[in-house]
Amino acid sequence: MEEATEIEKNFETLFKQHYQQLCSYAFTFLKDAESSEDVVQELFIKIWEKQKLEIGATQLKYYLFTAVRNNCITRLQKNKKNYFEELKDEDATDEMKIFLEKNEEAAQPKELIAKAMELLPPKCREVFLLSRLSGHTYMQIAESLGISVKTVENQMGKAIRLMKAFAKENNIYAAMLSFIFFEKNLSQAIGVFINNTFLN
Amino acid sequence: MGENIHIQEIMLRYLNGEQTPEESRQLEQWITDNPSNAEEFDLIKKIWADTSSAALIPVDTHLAWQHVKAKIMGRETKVVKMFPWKRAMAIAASLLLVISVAYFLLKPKEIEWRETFAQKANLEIKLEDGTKISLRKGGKLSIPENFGKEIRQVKLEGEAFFDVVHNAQNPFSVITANSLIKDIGTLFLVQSTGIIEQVTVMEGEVSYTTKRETQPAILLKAGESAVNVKEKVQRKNVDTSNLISWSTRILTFNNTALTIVAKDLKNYYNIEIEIAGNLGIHKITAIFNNEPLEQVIKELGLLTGLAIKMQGNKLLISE
Repeated sequence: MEEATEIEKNFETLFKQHYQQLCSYAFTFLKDAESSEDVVQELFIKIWEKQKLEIGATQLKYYLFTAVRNNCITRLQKNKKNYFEELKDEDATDEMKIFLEKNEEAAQPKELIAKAMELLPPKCREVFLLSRLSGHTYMQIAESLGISVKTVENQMGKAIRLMKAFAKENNIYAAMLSFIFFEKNLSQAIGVFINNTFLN
Repeated sequence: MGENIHIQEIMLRYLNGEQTPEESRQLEQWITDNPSNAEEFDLIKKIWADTSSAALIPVDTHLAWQHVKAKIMGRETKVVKMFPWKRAMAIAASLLLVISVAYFLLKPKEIEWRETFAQKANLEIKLEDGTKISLRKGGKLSIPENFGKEIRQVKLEGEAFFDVVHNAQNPFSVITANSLIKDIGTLFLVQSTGIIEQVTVMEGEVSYTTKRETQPAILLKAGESAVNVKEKVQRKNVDTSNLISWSTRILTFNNTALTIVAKDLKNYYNIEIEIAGNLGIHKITAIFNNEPLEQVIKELGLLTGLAIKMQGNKLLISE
């Protein structure tokens, strides 16, 4: 009986630790919060019924994200939206810049970043979001998506380059950057001042 | 540009916690090289941090947990007001339920086995009774649906290490193709990968007999092995130090002969090893903690002064 409660506790911890991340991951496929939560809850119920013995196994945490992805794709296919169709034209948008309509009224950096991620090329977005939400290693991401580690690394690089260009273009971190500039200019100014004052 | 991409890859590996010490050093150097590099790094760090929180959607985890808990506990609490006649029907319905449940409980049930495969990697499994099992890659463990209640028995194909929680009233047992192993509270390794089956005890005691119980059970103590070759059982003493390195990922050698080291490396890295002449008598003292083979080769070379190199899948050790 005591052991049963321990399993329950492990299960609860597992759920609470990953629920938001998993729902957010599901959301990247389904674009609907309610069905995203459904998919994740159904998965946990299934784990409890079928794989109770493995709760706490290190492999399980890694399996969760893969399972969410599979279940989302199944759900999309059922709804006759072809997810893979969407992925095909990924190369068209390859290294294109991410453009955002310029009508945002002073949006928060995080909102802008979220929108920018939406606009990444599909494959790139998929790799990048799985990485950022799961915290998996490149190797685990590669296995989960059935691609090579090198591809994961390339897509991650592409994502960060696009995000960086976007951040600069839209001055997302303007406050932070200008502070750095200010600091740099100030130290240069001080340097000039010292040189002029004491070296002559 | 090539340089930029390279340093960017290092940055990302660094942020993901996958960098090598050499890469950390390179990155530090690059950051201190130029203030604009430091700025670039700060920007990427900021994006890295913000992207993980920006990707989150708002959910009520607590509420969701209540929902899931209610479902798995099979008690979705609904308060419903009932009229007397409805109540009578409810009682009748629950009586019917009790009868059918009793029927299913009393009916002799066939044991259902739940199978777990360690397909791609070793698997850590914790059973409901607290027993821990490391299943080596390639192995299969079958656990009965009703494990723990009346019987504590599992079936194994392949190799697994058991850390059993002892219970005198309900002893734990493992069945393999040819062996029957009963624990007396203990750590033990079962290798059932071919015609030869071997059970080795690291701690505590185990009672061993062949599956068909053609021979009286023997009691194995720590450091002892039972080797079963076609129903012939031999008891022998074994060095248990690196037996479960596949699970612990640690290889320990304490003044160990190179021939033994070679055997353990062969087992861990899945390679062939050839030692020239009588070099096998070299003694090695070292600990390898999940190190890549190249690193191990390098260290062994330094320790012994011998020429060690890979040729295909074979490690050659020569003067």
